[in-house]
Parts: sequence; structure tokens; C-alpha cells
Amino acid sequence: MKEKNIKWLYEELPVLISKGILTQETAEEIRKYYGEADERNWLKIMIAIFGTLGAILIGGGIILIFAKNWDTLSVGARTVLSLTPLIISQLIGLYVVLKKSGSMAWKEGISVFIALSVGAAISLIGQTYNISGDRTSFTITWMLLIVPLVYIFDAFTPSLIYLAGITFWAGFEQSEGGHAALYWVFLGILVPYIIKAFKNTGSNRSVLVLWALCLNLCVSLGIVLEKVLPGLWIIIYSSFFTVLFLVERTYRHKTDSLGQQPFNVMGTMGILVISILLTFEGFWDSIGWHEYRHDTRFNELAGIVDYILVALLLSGAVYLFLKNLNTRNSKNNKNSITLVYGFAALLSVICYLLASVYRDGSIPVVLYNAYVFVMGVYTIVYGIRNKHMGVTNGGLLIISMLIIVRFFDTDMPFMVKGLSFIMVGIGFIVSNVMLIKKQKEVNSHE
Amino acid sequence: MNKNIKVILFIVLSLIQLAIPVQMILGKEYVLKNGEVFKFRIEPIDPVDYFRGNYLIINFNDNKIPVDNSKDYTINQTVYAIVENYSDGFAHFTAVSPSVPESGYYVKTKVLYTDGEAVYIKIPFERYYMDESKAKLAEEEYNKSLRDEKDVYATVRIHNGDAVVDGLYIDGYSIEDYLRNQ
Repeated sequence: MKEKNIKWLYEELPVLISKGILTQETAEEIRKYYGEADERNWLKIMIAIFGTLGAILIGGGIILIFAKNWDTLSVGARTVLSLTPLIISQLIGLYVVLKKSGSMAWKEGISVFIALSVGAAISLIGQTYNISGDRTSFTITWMLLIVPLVYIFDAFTPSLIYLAGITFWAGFEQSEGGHAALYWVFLGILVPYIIKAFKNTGSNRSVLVLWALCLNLCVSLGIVLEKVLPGLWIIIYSSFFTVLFLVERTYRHKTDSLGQQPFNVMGTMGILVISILLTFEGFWDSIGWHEYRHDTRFNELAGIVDYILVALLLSGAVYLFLKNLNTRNSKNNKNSITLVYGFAALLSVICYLLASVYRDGSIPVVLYNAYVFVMGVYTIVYGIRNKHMGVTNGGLLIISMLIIVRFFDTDMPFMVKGLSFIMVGIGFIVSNVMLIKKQKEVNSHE
Repeated sequence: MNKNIKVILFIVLSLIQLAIPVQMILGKEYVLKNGEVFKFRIEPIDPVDYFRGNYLIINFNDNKIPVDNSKDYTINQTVYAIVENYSDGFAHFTAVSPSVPESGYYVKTKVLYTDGEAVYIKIPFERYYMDESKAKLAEEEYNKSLRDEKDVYATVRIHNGDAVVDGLYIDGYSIEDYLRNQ
């Protein structure tokens, strides 16, 4: 039950008791059953947000002032200058750990301030000693020095800085000819925190961490891949989005708000986007089967990481798919749509194998067109059954997308193209009218 | 997490956060005090804005080290470049080795690229930070001095593979003094 409702119920209890509907004991039982109504204190949240923003601005300001570079200052003065903000922030941090460990505002604010002070200190030393632009070691040193703050202060802002930092590091490494497989180790440091956020559905901060993680992985997967075997990204991204999609539906507490379901939303979007992309023959033709990477830039160890990644993501996707398949017989019609979308990983493997055996993308293209069509139809059916207008229109949108992209790259006669547009248009109107009627019926029954 | 453990962890973390910058400072100070001074001829330089401030990019004009076995080196490989002073008083990279040389002065760096006859290394000391108001002026003076064929060079201190740019010089004056005298 929502906290708002519990609070309302608790307000009603004395009234119900006074009217003799409930006894004192039953009221206590009810209180015990629902627990404390812990409504969010918005004032506290606002203070935390502005405290964190303030800390970011002050920390960023210090870095910029340092960047001015006073050549009149002696090396000693600069050393003191670079370490002073760090020491001050650490002393405040110690005070927060000791006395203010219950305050979200203090914890978020000071952890960001320490994180930026560490960056400022390393930057200023780099400037003082004319250290060359070694972006990779600068970034990763900074990130590793601040990641424990996430755990010590239970603070989420440093976790966002860290996620962004390790992705930049991976990008720098790859662009300089290095290899970024260590990204996974660095991400691993954050895993306990992520698992905690995954289990904690009530907190906005947890949801934000999960959103950040999803977005981050979408980007970093592409950066970290060594791209050894041509086209392997097809399986990796399909499996990744399938895992995202299924993991939330399988394990996480259900909520109605889409904003609270980062994995589900990102997974669904990802599956749709990649499936629509793969309906283009060009993607299959441009895989370049002959370009197996083996030149000097190829790193064997990092190449193995690609294969491990495929194995892990794919087995995760298949496991979750089978797990959902087994619960199919229960009367849960949500399950069929889960299975249709959850099939994305398996389909990518089938198509990848077909394409690599025949060196030709025509069969995969047909399969993916059919797949996107089926996803659209199932989404529409699901939306109508559950009287959900948004979902129904989403399904129609998928089918429209499919028709629009095919409009440009097939030799269908204009007559057929035109008719299919008209049919989808009618579909939009009819289904929406039906849904509005149903909605009205439900309302009048109530 | 238990509060006491948190306090201890935080203190340990703070000490590490301080130790890394301090260790960087001490390391560079040591090289500046004990390193051997080498003079490198340099090419025109540009000021570039960056988060850490304005700096001059020092284009050292020789990063090419001729070798017989250039195929044995790969891009981004860590190597040790040996530095020697020529009779003109300026330093040059004379040889490259994948392992730490037993004698002589060397800098630890990475391979940029190779061709059939040479290894091209990344010069690990290519930045000289300056006050933002002076960086542009410095570039102009520098390029002018190069055209006038004045003596223009950077001094670099090298010790145990680590290198620190000590200063930029025009006609024997440090660039800061040179700008002040203008």
C-alpha cells in the first residue's frame, strides 16, 4: 500500500474507534500490520538537493580558480593551496560521519565536496609540475580515490561521478590504443551499492542510481567492446537489453510508475530500437565478416573479455527467458508480452548464426521484420486487454515505425504502401475509440 | 555499516586521498632536485585552454628513434627511451628499449607508432602551464624568437625514468623573466 494511503488510514483510525466500528485493539493490530507511515519529508529532500548543488559549485569553483595558475606563487604555496580544500573537506567529512550520519543533505553535500577536492588537488599538482596530459591515469586515480565515499556516506552523487568517470576512462583508453577491459573490475566495485539500490524500491535516490547505471552501460558497452569478432555487438546489445527488460520484471517489486522502472523502460526501448535497426539489410551487409581484428591494435586479453561478456549476457538472458517461460501457465497475461520481448536475445543469436553461415542478411532481415510486427501486435493486444491506452498506442506506433522504415527501402508498390498506412491509421482511431468506450463503461459501473 | 568502522574507514580513506597527491609532489620534487638537466630543442608552441588551466604545448622535434627491429614494438607499448647529450649541448633520444636500461639516463614512455625503420615515442613532458594572461603573450614571443633564430629550448630534469619540465628558455632567460623584461 502506498504511504499516502497508510497515512490517510491512520488519520481515520481514531474516527472509526470513536464511532465504535473498530476497537482500540484492532486499531493497534492495523498499525502493527502496516508499520510506520513514513511519508517523505520534502523539505529535507530540497535541502539535500541544494546542499549537493552548492557543494558542486564550490568544488567546481575551486578547480577553476586553481586553473588560473598564479606563476607568482612558490611551489610550496601551491602545494599548501592544493591540499587545503581537501583537508578542510575531510575534516567536515569526519564531523558528518561522527555527528550527522542521519542527515542525507550533509552526507551528499560533503561527499561531493571531498570528491571534487581530490580532483582539484591532483589537477593543481599536475599543473605545478607540468605533468603531461595523461588523461587515463588522472581520471582513474581520481575515481578510485573517491569511490569509497559512496559506501562510507551511503551517498549517491559520488556514485554518479564515479560511473561517468570510469566511462570516460574507458573512452580515453580505447582512443589512445589501450584496452578498457578493466572497466568491468571498476564497475564491480559499485556492484554491492547497485544491488542495494535494486532491492530498495521506495527511494528516489536508488531509482536515480539505477537510471544512471542503465544509461552508463548503454554507452560503455559500446566503448569497452574490443570488436574482435565482427558483428558481435548484435548479440551483446540484444542480450544486454533483454537482461535489463527481464530482470526487473522477474525480480523487482512491481510499481506502476514507469519512472520507477529504469531497467524495464531501457530494456523495452533498447529491444525495440535494436530490432528495428536490424530490419535494415544494410546493417547485416556492413558487418564485414572478413575483418577479424588481429592487427597490432588488437589486444588478445581484452578480446577474451568480449567472449566472456557474450557468454554471461546471453546465458543471463536465456535463463531469465526460460524462468518466465515456466511460469507461463499461470493466468497472467502479462507473461506473454514478457516472453515476446524477452525473445530478443535468442533471435539475435539465431540471426547472427544464419548470417555468418550464409554470409547474407536476407533471412535475418525477414525474421526481424516479422519480430517487430509480432511485438507491435502483442503490445496492442496487451494494451486493449488491460484497458491501457498508452500501451495500445505504443504498439500501434511500433507497427507504424515498421511501415515507415520499410516505406523507404523496399520495392513495394505505392498502392500497397498507401493501403498499409491507411490501415494503421484506422487501427489507431478504432482502438482508441474502443478504449475510451471501455473506460467510460468502467466509470459508469463504479 | 557500524559507525566506528565507518569512522576508521573514512580516516584511512582520507589519509590515502592525501598520500597520493603528497607522493606525486615528493616524487616530482625529488626529480627536480636530483635529476640530471637536459636541454631539448623545441618547435613552435600553442596555448590551449583546459580544465587545469592554460598551458603551452611543447613540440619537441625529435621523437623518432631509428631501430632495426621496429616490428617488435606495438602501439601503446611501454618503453624506455635513452637520452644523451650531443656535442651541440642539446639532448636527443638515441635508443629505445622495452626493458629498464641498466645504465644511462632514460624516460619511461609509450610508443606512438612505428614504421619500417624507426619507433616514434610519445614525449612524456609536453606541457608547460602558465598564468592564463601570459600564455598567449608567451606563445607570440616564442614564435618571434624562433623566427629570429634565438636560442630557444626547454630544460627537463630526468631521474630514474621520470621527467619533469623545469623551465622554458629564450636566450638564456626563463620565459617568465623574458616576458617581464619585454
